[in-house]
Amino acid sequence: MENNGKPILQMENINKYFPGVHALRGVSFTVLPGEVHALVGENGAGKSTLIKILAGIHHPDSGQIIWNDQPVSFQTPFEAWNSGIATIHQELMVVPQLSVAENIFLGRLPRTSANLIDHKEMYRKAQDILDHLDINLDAHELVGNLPIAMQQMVEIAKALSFDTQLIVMDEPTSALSQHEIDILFDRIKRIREQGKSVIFITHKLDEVFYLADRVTVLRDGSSVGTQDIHELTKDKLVRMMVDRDIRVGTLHAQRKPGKKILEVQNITIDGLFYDISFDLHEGEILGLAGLVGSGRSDVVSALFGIRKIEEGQILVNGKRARFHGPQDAIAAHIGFVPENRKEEGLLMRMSVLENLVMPSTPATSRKGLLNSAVESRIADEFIEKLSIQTPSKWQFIGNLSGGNQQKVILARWLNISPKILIIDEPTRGIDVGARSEIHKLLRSYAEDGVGIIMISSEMEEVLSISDRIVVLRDGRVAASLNSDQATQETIVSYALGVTK
Amino acid sequence: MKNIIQKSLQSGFVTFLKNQKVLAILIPLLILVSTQSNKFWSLYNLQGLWVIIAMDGIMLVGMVMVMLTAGLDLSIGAIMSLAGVICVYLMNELGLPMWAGILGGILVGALGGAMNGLFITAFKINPFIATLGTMITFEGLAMTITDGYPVVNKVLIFSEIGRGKLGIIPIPAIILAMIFTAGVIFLHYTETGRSIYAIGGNEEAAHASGIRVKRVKFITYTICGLTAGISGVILASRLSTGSPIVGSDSALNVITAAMLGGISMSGGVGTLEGAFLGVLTMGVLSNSFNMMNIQAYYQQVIKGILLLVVIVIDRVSANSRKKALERTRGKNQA
Repeated sequence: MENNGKPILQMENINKYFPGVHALRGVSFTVLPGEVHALVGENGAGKSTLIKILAGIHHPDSGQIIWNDQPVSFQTPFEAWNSGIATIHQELMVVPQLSVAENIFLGRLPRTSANLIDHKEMYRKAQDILDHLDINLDAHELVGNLPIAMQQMVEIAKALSFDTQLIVMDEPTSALSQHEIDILFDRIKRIREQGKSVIFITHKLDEVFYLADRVTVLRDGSSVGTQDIHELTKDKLVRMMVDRDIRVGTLHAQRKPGKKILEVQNITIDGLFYDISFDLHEGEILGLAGLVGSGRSDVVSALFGIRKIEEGQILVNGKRARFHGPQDAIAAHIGFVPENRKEEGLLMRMSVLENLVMPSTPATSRKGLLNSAVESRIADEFIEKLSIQTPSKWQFIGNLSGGNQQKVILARWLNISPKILIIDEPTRGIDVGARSEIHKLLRSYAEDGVGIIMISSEMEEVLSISDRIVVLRDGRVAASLNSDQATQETIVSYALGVTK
Repeated sequence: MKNIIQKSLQSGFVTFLKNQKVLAILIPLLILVSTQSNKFWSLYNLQGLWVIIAMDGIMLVGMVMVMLTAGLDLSIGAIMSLAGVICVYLMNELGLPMWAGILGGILVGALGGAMNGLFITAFKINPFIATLGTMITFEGLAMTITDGYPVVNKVLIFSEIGRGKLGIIPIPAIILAMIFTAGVIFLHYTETGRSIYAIGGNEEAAHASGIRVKRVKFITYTICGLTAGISGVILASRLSTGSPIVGSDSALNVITAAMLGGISMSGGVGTLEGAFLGVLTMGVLSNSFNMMNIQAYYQQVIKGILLLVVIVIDRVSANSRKKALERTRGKNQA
């Protein structure tokens, strides 16, 4: 591979802000013609934001993109495609009811002189592209009948049907079998041989070393650096990905954890997670770490009765729990703060009060009639206790800031006097001040004897408030670590599967 | 802080405007008909008007509950016909006492609603499709029982329900007042009522808060069938006939009225009180057109246009809600 050409793409000093988050901090990044460039980093490092900017989905707040020596600013995904940058997202954008050829030329179907669709031309051209890539596929086939790997090939063929010089793939192997991965990699190498470039996002370091020419590492929205693959080892790459300066143990338990309140024994839901076991004690904060897609959220939704386990059992206070739905988990004093506050947690068009008392209404109401006096008292109490910033308890929850919304959801569960509190991404999209308040709150409830299971993609959060950490990888327990054994490096190594 | 106060003022203003939307039709209509006809405000006409409004108004109570969960019930007209037919059939063909006929009709309504609820919750069928299916089935059943002809009622005292008055107030209007009040209390002051709003607002979050979503939905469809049954019995009494086709327009009328009164198809938005203004407007509309000698066919065109306008407004405001939500969602994913 010759890397002596001028860069085809230069992203310079890109900054992107979301409310409360500085998602990209002056990231610079170049791609050479004819290279496979791997983009790696932990969850939330900024990889997806960066490629979404490149794909015209997000717009940078500052910085510039130079493409083929021209400064560009893509307003829509279509502009990016037309300029020769094709992005293949994790969720494939194919129309299952249409044929392979129709998918490839969707929106730009070849026309006859009478302005009707030129089917003959369309199938011929599509077949050409497929054959050229050595993809053994009939252009007449319906895309819906194809396995995921082949649908992905259709997207690649579509990308190449434009005059594409750069293909961006976001975790393309996450849904593929080993055999299919081999085929995909072979095609990627073929694309490289044609002098085209590929940006490749992955969590699997083996793939990086197998395929990439160069690697760029992102961490906390900054670029740690770009390296030639020959200069790297796996250990070195992991070290680049983790931040070694985290202060650990700022909020650890003051007292010894009490008796076991939750025993998870060999639970399995086929396709999501397998043979998961761990215990939770009174007064303990258990961190659940792992990559997005490692099964973390699926495991906790099973603990809360949202999903039904297929094998194994869950014991609460030594007794086997059979949850038919969240209402049974709530009756067992389990609370659950979901990952996606807006989709799974909030009742946006209802008031702070209504959101706060929702799971406790069966307890507070009498013969099905709401007890507004008690509800008011509860709402006032928690608004004061958690210092929730709201003009009144009757305010629509949608008008509160993310941090205050999260506090309302926390209060919702604290009001059922939880024995177990499950909290998925406690501080996502929340500003720094509210973050530390929520951390302190979790710790103080643990001190009162509540057992807490916390999922977080942020290493700092996991390390600073967990007493114990269970690392999941590909739906299985990869490691169970005490806080004194856990470092960012060990956790990332287990999560990525590069343990020595 | 200032921002939040401003927003709540704005949202209060928007709700105010939404209520105005129906009044913007109702008030000019009342003025128009007052100038065009001197009979509109007569006691006789108002009594007749309220009897008509009572039929749809009773069903509105059930329909609003269904629609607040983001559901729909197309079958209420068919249930109404079937309930009326069964009621008259039980009394006249089988010679059962009046209470048995009335109870039978109402029970058939509740059962029909429960059937809808079962299809929609247990088998997860789209409410539109499920109630379209039961609508056709119930219509067919009513036809089968009567052989396609109306069954005539000969129990004179039964007619008093639909035709009688308490003082100057028609009995159907009194029944409406009772059911409507019960509905308002149910929606505002009971656990199930709040659950209905929560489900329509965010079904997933409602489920995760421990609300038994399926049970609550089942209850709303059963109540909806029940109100259609009651309405059917009253109508049969008023007409002294059990007709298998009498309710064929009802579902669309009631849905239009509910939307006109601020109930959103996407659930969680609107109140029964607001929806009642919608039914009132629809009732005044047909009555005043009759007063002004406007042909029935025109009336239908105007009602259709009204429904379309309301649907467009509903869609546009639901879209802007969704967009606002997506904007905040996008920001939280860094």
